[in-house]
Amino acid sequence: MSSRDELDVLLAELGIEADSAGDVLPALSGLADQVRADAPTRLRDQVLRSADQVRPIGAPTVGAVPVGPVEAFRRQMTVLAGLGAGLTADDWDRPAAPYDWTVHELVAHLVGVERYTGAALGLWSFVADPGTEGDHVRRTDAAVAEQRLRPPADTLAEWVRLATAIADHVEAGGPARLADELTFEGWPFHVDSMLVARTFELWTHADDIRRATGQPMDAPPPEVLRAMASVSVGSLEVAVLVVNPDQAGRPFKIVLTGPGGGTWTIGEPGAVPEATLVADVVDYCRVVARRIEPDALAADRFGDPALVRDLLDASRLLAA
Amino acid sequence: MVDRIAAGDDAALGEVYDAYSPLVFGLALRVTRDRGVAEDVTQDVFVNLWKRPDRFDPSRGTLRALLAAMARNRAIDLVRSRTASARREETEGRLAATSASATSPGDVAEAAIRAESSEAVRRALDALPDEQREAIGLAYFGGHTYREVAELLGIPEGTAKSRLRLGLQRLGALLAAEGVTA
Repeated sequence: MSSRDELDVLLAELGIEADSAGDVLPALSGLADQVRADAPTRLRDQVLRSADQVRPIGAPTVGAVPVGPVEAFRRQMTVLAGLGAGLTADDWDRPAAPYDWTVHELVAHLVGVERYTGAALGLWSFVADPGTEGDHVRRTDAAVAEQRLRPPADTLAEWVRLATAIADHVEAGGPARLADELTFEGWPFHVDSMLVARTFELWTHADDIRRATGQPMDAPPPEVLRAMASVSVGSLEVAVLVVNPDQAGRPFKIVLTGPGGGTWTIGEPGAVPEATLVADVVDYCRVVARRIEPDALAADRFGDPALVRDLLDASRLLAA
Repeated sequence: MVDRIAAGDDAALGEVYDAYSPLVFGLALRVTRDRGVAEDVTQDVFVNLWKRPDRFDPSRGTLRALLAAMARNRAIDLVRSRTASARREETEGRLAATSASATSPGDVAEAAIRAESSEAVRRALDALPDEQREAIGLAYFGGHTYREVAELLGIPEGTAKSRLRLGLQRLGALLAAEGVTA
C-alpha cells in the first residue's frame, strides 16, 4: 500500500500536487482501503462487448485499415527508388551486407527478381540459368553480371521500369488477378500475398542500402505494415505445418504492438490459444524478413515455447 | 499492457479490468453513491481506455493513477450533470418541497463517511478537528479537489490545502496507531 503508485492514485483523486503530499501517504493509504469495491460480475463481459463496438477486437488504434497489396508494393518501390536516387557514386560501390554484393549489385539483383516475378505473372518470359531455378539469389546472377557493366542510375531505372510494369499489370487485372494462384519461389501463392511478400523484400533491401550507406533504418508507414503483418500472420496456420506437422490445429495468438500492428487469434472460434507471442510489429516483420533471428526477437512468449518457436520459424517462410 | 490494448488485444483489456476495476468502481461509488451510476462510470473508464490507450503516458504517471483520475472525473461529471438536472426540475416546479439544496456539501460528505467508512477510519475521522474532518470529507468522500473544497467552504485555497494536509497527517498517525496502515 505504501507505494509511490498508490500515492499517485490518491493524489489524482484529491487534486493535490505531488510535492505537497509526500507526508500524507499513511493516511491516504488507509483511505484507499476503504474505496475498493467489487463491481458486479456481469460488468466485465459488458465492458468487453462495448469495447468491441467502439474498436473491433484485433484492430490496432493506428493503421487499422491496410493498404491493398498493389499499393503496398508501389509505396515501398517508391521509397527504394527515392533512396537510390539520392546515392553518391561512392555509396553505390559500398558493400551491402549480408550479401557479397555492392549496393549497385543489390539493385541489379532486384532487376533479376522482377524479371522472374513478371514471368511468374505471365507478363514476359524468363529462363533461369541451369541449376539456379530454385535459388532466389543465384537465379539473379546473370542480371547482376549484366547490370554491373551499366551505370547505377541505369540499373535503378531498369528496376523501376520492371517493378512498375508488374504493379500496373496486377492492378489492371483487378480483384480477379489478385486472387489468381501462381507458383512463386517454389511455393503456392495468391498474387496478392506474393506482392506483399515482395513488399517485405523491397523494404528489407532498402534497409540494407541504408545500413550500407550509414543512414538510419526505416519502417513502412502503419497502413503498409498492417498489410504486411496481416499477410504474414495469415500464412502461419499453414506455414507452421511445413516447419512441424505436429502443430496442426493448435490455436495460437499473435499480438503485434505499435502502429500498424494488431491481434490475431488463429484456431477454432472460442479456442484458448496454446501459445501467444507479443512483439513489436516492426521487429516481428524483421524476423519475417530474416533480419532478426527468432531467438533474438524481443517478445513476450506465453504458453508452449515449442509452438512459439515453430511459429517464428514459420513466419520466415513467407519472404524466404 | 497498454501497448497490447492499443494492438486490439481484448485479453489485455480483461487483465487491466481485473486488476483495476475494484479501484475504479469503488471510486465511482464513493463519488456518486449510486451503484448503477458507478457501473456506468466503470464501463466508460475501461471502454475509453480501449478507445484511446494513447492517453496513457508512462512518463506522466501510472496506469492506476490515470484510471483513478478518469473514474473520478467521469463520476463527478455525472453527479454534476444529475445535480444540474435536478435543479432544472426544481425550477420547473416538478420536485417535491424537500429539495436537495437543503443538504449542505458537508452533510453529504459526512453521510458518506458514516455510510461507507470502516469503524477504524470512522473513529480516526471522528478524532479530527471539525474543520479538518470537513475538508477531508469533501475532498475524499465527496470527490472534490482542494480548489473546490475551498470554494464550497468559502475559504482560501491555501487554507483548504493546509487543512487537508494537516488532517491527513493526523489521520495517518491515528490509523497507524490502530494498526490500519503498514
